[in-house]
Amino acid sequence: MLWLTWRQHRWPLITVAAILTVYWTFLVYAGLTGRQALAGCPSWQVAPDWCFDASRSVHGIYTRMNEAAWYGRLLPLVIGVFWGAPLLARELEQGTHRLAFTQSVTRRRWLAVKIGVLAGVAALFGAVTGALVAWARGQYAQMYATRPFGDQEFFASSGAVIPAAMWVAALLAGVMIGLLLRRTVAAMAVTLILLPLAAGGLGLIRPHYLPPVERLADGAQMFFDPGAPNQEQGWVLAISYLDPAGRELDREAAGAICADPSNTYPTAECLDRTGLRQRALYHPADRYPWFQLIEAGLLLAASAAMALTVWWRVVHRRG
Amino acid sequence: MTAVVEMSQVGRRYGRRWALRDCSLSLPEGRVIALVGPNGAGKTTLLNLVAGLLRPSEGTLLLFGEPVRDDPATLARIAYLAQDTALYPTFTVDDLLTFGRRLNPNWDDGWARDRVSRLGLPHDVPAGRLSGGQRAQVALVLALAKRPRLLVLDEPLASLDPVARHDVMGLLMEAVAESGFTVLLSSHIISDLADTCDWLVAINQGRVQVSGDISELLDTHKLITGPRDALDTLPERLPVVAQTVTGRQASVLARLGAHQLDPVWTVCDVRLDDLVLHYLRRPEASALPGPTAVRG
Repeated sequence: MLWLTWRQHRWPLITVAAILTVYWTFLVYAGLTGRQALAGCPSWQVAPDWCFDASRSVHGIYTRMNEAAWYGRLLPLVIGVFWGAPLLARELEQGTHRLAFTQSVTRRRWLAVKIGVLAGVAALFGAVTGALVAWARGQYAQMYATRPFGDQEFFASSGAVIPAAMWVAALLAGVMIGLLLRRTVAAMAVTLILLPLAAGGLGLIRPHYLPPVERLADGAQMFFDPGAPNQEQGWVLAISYLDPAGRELDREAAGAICADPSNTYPTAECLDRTGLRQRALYHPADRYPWFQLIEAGLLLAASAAMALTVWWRVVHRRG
Repeated sequence: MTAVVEMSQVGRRYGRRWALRDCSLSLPEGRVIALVGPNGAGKTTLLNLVAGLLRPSEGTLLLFGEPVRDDPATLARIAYLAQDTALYPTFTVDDLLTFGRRLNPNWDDGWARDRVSRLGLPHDVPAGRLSGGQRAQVALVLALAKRPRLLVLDEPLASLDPVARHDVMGLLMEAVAESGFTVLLSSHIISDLADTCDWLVAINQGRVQVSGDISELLDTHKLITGPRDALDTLPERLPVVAQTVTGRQASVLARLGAHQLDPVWTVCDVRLDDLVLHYLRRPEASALPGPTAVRG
C-alpha cells in the first residue's frame, strides 16, 4: 500500500519537495543575512544610525524574502489542488477504483494509508516551512514590522503550528471535493476557487477568536498612530480618542484638536498637553500562542469533519 | 453443494430508479456462468453487487455463505474485471504486476510473469497505450494471478476484435481448466458465451428471468410446431414461454419436461441464443429452478 501511494503520487510529492528545497534554502539565506547585518540592533525607535544603514543594505533581500513568503502562502493551495483533488476524483473518473477496491486491501486501509501518508507529509512540510518563515522574518523584526501577530498576510504562514494544520486541511478539502465531483479537472478548479475564499473567511473571523481588550492610554503608553496593526504590544484592532469630556473622536478630529503643525495625527506630546486619551481595542501580544492554537484547532476540526465525510462515503460503499 | 452466490430478494436503486428488483438467485460453485440481458437490464449492477462494489438497497446477498464484507479474506476470494478494463493508464505491465503482488497475499507472481511473457505483452509500455485486446489480457492476468475462487467479468469481450476475443476467452478457459474456480461473466452477445458456459442467468428490466444449467435448459425447452386448431389440445399447465401463430401454423416454445403431447405436434430442440431471445422478448416469462436442497 505504501508502494502504491508512492507510485501514484510520486510526481506531486517530488515537485513540491523540489519547490520547498529552493524555498527553504532561500529563507535560510535571507534569515542568516538579516541576522548578521542587524545583530545587536535594538528596536527601530531607539536604534543608532548604523542600524539604519545596515537595514538599508539588506533591504533588497528583505523585500525578496517577503515576496517569496507571500507566494509561499499559496503552497497549501498547491497541496489541495495537486495532492488532494485528484486523489479520489481521478480514481472515480478513470474507473480504477473498481480495480483498487477488488484487490485484497480493504477500503479502510487503502484510504487510511493514502490520506495518512499524504497528510503526514503535508503536515511535516507545512510545519518546517512555517517555522522557517517565522525564523527568517523574525531576524528583521527590530527594523521592520515583521511580527506575525496582527499581520493578516503572514499570520497563517508563520510558525509551525498553523501551517501544519492548514496544509492538512487543504489536502482534505481537495480530497473531499474530488470525491463529491468525481471529475479531476473540475475538482481541481473548484478547489482552486474555494480554498482562497475559505482562507479569506478565516482571516475575517480571526480578530474575533477572543474578545479584544480595551485600553485607555495616555501619552507614555499610547500606540503609535497611524501604525501597522502588528505592534510590539499586540494586535491593534481599532484606535480612537477620548477628549476630557468623554466624547469619542477619530484620529483626524483628534489631530485637529492637537493643532500641531508638524504632525497631522496625535502624538504623545499632544496627549499630555491636551488631556486627550487614546482608546485602543487590541489583543495583547501574549495572546499570540492562543490565537495560533485556536486557528489550528479550527483547521483541525474542519479536517476531521472532511475526513469523516470521505471515510463514510468511501468505506460504506454508498456509491 | 455450496452456492457461490445466494441472492434473496435483492434490489438496488439509484435515486428513484430501481436497477434491480426482487432478485433471488442461487449460483452453484465451479461453473462458468453466463449473465445475459439487454443493455440497461441491470447486469453491471448485479455484478457490482456480487463483487462488493455496491451495497444492496434491499434484500440479502451471501458470498460463499457469508455476507459481503470489506475485509481482506472476503476480498481475496473474488476478482473483478470492470467493463472497459479499468487499468491505471500510466502504469506499465511491470507496475501492474507489482501492484497485484503488493496488494494480494495470494498472488502467484511466477504464474503472472510467465503468462505475460507467453502472451507477448510488452513490459514497459504504459497501459494507456496498449491495444484493447492487450489491456483485456493484462487485466485478466491480474485477476487470475490473485487465485480467486470467484472471477467476475463485466462484458470482457465487448470492445474487442474477433482475434482478441478468442485470445481472451482462451486465456480464461485455460485458467478455469487448471484451477476450477467459478466464473461469472456478462455479455449481451450470447454467441460469445454459448460454447464456454454451462450455467445461464438471464436478466430483463431489473429482474431475473432465467437461472439454470444450460444443458438442462436445452433439454427441457422445446419448440413445438403444429396446426393452429390443435392449440387447445396442449396440456393446460404446460409452461409456455412464447407462442406465434402464422397462417395455419402455430409454434410454441415451452418447457416440455414430462408433459405428453398429441402426435399432431412436432417437437424440436432449441438453440441457446433462440431460447434466450424468446425469454428476453417476453419479460413476464421466467424459468427459475425449484427450491434447492437446504444446506445442513
